[in-house]
Amino acid sequence: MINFLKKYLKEIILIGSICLVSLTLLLIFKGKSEDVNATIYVKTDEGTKILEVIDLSKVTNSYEKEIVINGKTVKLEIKHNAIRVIDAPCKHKDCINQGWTSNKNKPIICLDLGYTIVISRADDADVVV
Amino acid sequence: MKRLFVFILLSIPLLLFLFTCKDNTKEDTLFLYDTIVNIKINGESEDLKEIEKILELYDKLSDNYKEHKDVNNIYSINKKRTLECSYELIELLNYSLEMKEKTQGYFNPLIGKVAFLYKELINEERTYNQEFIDEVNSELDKMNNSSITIEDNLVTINGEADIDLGAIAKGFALKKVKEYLDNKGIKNYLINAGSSSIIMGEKSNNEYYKVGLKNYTDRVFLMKNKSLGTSSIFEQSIMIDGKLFSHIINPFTGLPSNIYDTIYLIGDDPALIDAFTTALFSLDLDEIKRITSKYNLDYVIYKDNIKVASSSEGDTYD
Repeated sequence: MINFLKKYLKEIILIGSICLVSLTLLLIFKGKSEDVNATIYVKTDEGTKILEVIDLSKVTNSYEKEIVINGKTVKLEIKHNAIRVIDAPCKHKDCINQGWTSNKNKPIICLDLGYTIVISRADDADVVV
Repeated sequence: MKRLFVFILLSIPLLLFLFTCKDNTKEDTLFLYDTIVNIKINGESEDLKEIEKILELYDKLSDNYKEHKDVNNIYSINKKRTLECSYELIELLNYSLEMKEKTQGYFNPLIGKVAFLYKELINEERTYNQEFIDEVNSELDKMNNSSITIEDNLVTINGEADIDLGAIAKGFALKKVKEYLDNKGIKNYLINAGSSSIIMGEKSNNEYYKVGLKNYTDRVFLMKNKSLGTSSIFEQSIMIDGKLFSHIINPFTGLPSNIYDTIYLIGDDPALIDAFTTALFSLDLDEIKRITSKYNLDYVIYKDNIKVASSSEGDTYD
């Protein structure tokens, strides 16, 4: 065994390095699919635009954030893998009443102000109706 | 032998790397039809753009709340009462009249003013009282004494009712998208228009899509190459005397329906399904069974959290 290792040491180091790099790349791609992002879409005269993408998976302590949508200020609370609206100048406050969302199939929608917050993450169902 | 051994070992990590590379999936999310439309296809960027164009066009054409400077739409027709319209809008209107026949009037494209009154109720701008009921009955009379005539590209509303195609617009747009995808030979796709209208091909490797039911989490549909429509009392509902009613109005009585909680319809034609998920909400089970059999539709119906009827025992549709 030791003679085998000594004889093929260079090849073993080479193959081992390549396997290590491949494993690292595999983890990077797999890791990306575990990212949880909140994408804020806004309806404008020019069509739907992305206002901001927030990486929820990197949040450790919860915090509040203000965003401006079509000239109006909306206040968000953000925690690890979840987001909610805590204040908005819309009429019906549906976005606030929806509470926390951490599920790609339960977006926060505000028709009054024309925005929606969509979570993207790996999930069991392809679609939920 | 040694070289072959080394070659094989070197190939393994390379294959692993290739496996993790992204496929040709294109995704986008649009804000249309007052909801979110998610598009996922295995195709080119041009295909995604074309699908978005189709969806955006029919959103504008069917909009009955505002004008769009580049197209005459339902709002424009309701305002001007006679209008020259594009081929696409004429086609949509003709389809709506065809669906009125097929649903025996339980889908009615002239329900616009009645629907508007109930939208005000949902938005708590009105109260459900005798004055409201009288106004609904008055608009119902106008609807029953109105008609749509289409001659060449000229659309005319005869009478005082307004057109509202909200019950079929998404489904019709998805029908056009499906035709595009079929023509291009694109088989892997999932397009979700606000969860009430969905078309899907198959996942890669000929697999089924897993469709979760948000109000009935003990159940999952497995589907491929099908369209799915949903009508539910839990979406845009109305509370009257402590009872929950759906936003779907029976065009014969002018009343909102609460016979069922949720109806799922599965079939091949998303436009047909969209119209029928509206129409069937006001019908009894025997009539639903008759109609779905005639048009080759599968169905699952819930009331009070219990499945009260389904066309088959299993949950696999293809």
